[in-house]
Amino acid sequence: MEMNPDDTVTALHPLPCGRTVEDVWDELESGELSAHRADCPHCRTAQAGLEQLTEATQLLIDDPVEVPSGLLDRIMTAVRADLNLGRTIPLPTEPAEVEVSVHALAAVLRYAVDGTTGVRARQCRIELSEPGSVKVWMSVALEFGAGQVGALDEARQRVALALRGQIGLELDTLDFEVVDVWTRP
Amino acid sequence: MDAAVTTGPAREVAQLEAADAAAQAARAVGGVVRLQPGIKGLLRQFGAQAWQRATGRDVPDVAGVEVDLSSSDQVRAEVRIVVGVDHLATEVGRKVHEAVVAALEAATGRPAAVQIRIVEFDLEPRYS
Repeated sequence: MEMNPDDTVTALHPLPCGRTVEDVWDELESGELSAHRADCPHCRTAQAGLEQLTEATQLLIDDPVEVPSGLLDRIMTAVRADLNLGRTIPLPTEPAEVEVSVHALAAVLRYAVDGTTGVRARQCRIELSEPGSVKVWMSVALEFGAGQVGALDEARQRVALALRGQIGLELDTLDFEVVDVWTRP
Repeated sequence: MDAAVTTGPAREVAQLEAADAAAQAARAVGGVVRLQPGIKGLLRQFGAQAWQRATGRDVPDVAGVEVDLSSSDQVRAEVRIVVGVDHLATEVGRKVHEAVVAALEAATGRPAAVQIRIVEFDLEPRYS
């Protein structure tokens, strides 16, 4: 799936004063106090946050208890949950405010398509077309000679069914793009 | 205005109590596999566990629930859930919303503005 360059983890975190959180971090580590940081409310706020983080980290390091089981798994699940919330689609549940992560939704639709013999889902893009219904674009790989058009029809039905039966959204349009063909070995 | 809960540790406690009520209400809804904290919530959960070990006192598990009591005339909350694909997501979301609003209003006595976010679907759900 293509990534927005702004989303990469290497991106710096700018402050309103024009400097970045990383600048403040570097200064704190080196122990120098620039004239700018001494006065700038943004840098000082960032500094306070970083100091709290350092303190909390130190507390956890000093905690003699063993690492809880499944720690890495829990961290990765939390990271994925944060990333998943990058873009969301509102569900038709007015007046209750309920949104669903587009990443999570795409995973369900890919899973639905993968259930079709001879079709493998690759990338999936989903957009809200009007409240309660979505436009979907999906690239797929097809097995050579597996009755491709019929298989894609089945995949389309599976997507519509998953949206309606598992999510509660209607399928407005679905564009498949065939990006690869494979043969059974 | 409820001055007792606007600042300091008293607010922390009120916030935790409200979040606990919201978390329990959300978990009780069918189709909710679990509540899912982000990194911030996970760190707070680790902190709570450390505190629990140090003091021997229980801290309720409120990971995946953010409660904001800073406004005195309402309570705002965000609940992140993982939904099993064997349930209709809109229905689960609506029920969680309803349950959390009711729990927060009962716990705080203020109207609640609640946002439910489905962060993941469990494709092979096992409910505990």
